[in-house]
Amino acid sequence: METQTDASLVQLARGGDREAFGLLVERYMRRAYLQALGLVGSREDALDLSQEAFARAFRARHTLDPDRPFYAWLYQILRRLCFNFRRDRRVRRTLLERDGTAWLTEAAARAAPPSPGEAFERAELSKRVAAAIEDLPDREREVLVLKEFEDLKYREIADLVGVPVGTVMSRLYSARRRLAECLVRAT
Amino acid sequence: MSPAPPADLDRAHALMMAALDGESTTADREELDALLARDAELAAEWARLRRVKEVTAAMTLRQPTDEVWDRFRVSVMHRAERSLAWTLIAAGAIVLGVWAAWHLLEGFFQETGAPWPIKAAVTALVAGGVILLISVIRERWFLHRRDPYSREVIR
Repeated sequence: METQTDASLVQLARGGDREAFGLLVERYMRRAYLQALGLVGSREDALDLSQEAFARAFRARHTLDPDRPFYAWLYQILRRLCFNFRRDRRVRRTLLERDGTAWLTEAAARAAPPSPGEAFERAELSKRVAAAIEDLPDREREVLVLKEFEDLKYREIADLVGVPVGTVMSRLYSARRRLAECLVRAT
Repeated sequence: MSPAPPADLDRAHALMMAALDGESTTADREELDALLARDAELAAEWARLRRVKEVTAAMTLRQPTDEVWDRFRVSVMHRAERSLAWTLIAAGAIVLGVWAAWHLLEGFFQETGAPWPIKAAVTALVAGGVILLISVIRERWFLHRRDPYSREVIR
């Protein structure tokens, strides 16, 4: 069963096959978790939300269309959960909880260890950028995460989010402009 | 060098994004270079955006430990089961609660011994509870209908 295509697993899952749905979970759990992490910025919440998205998908499995990509369907559930979570959290969140380093790290720093001075500067910069990403409007943060951390093409992002490519580019521009302002303030 | 007109600016922003993300053609890149050459403000913004790209490209999302993945699938299936259980429990509790409340109130109002202020207080309590419940349900329904993300997806 593990070699079956998504479409055939979806077909089986629609009929209530838990094993088939479990395989779909295994195929996409990492991607869903990381996207949730990018959207909400907390590992525990990302885990909770990504699992909840799969659980809701399982409950709504009869609405699955084998001719459409499974992940695109799941992502609609996931993003709505994440956005609603962010909306609810905004009210009760305190500044003390803001620490971008808990969910973002530096890929380059692992590849080539920098000098202590550089490392400190990078860490500070990463913190600021992570905090600025957390402050981005939901839709801008979403496309930025899909582009930077998922490395998707504009067309793929547009399909996933359900907007035209031009909108993806304008949201990306807007997000990066905000981050640029944050970097300018930092220097 | 003069600033680009607004229409060109939108185009310039799109060209800058495509160039940063490696999605521009040679013609796009030449067009962007020409725009940057004649607009110093745009060139400065381009430099800032490139810096942002450098920083974000060097960042990555933290991966969880392997144990998380080991438990993930099982947790999802348990959640789905528990959700069904909670739905059934909630439905049963609501039916039983309404039935019990109805019988309690019926007996209370039929009893002639209770003074009228107490009966009025119980009536107010029940009416307040019902109004509160309806208000919460209406609010939930309103929020659900106005969910800003529900209409964004092109089906």
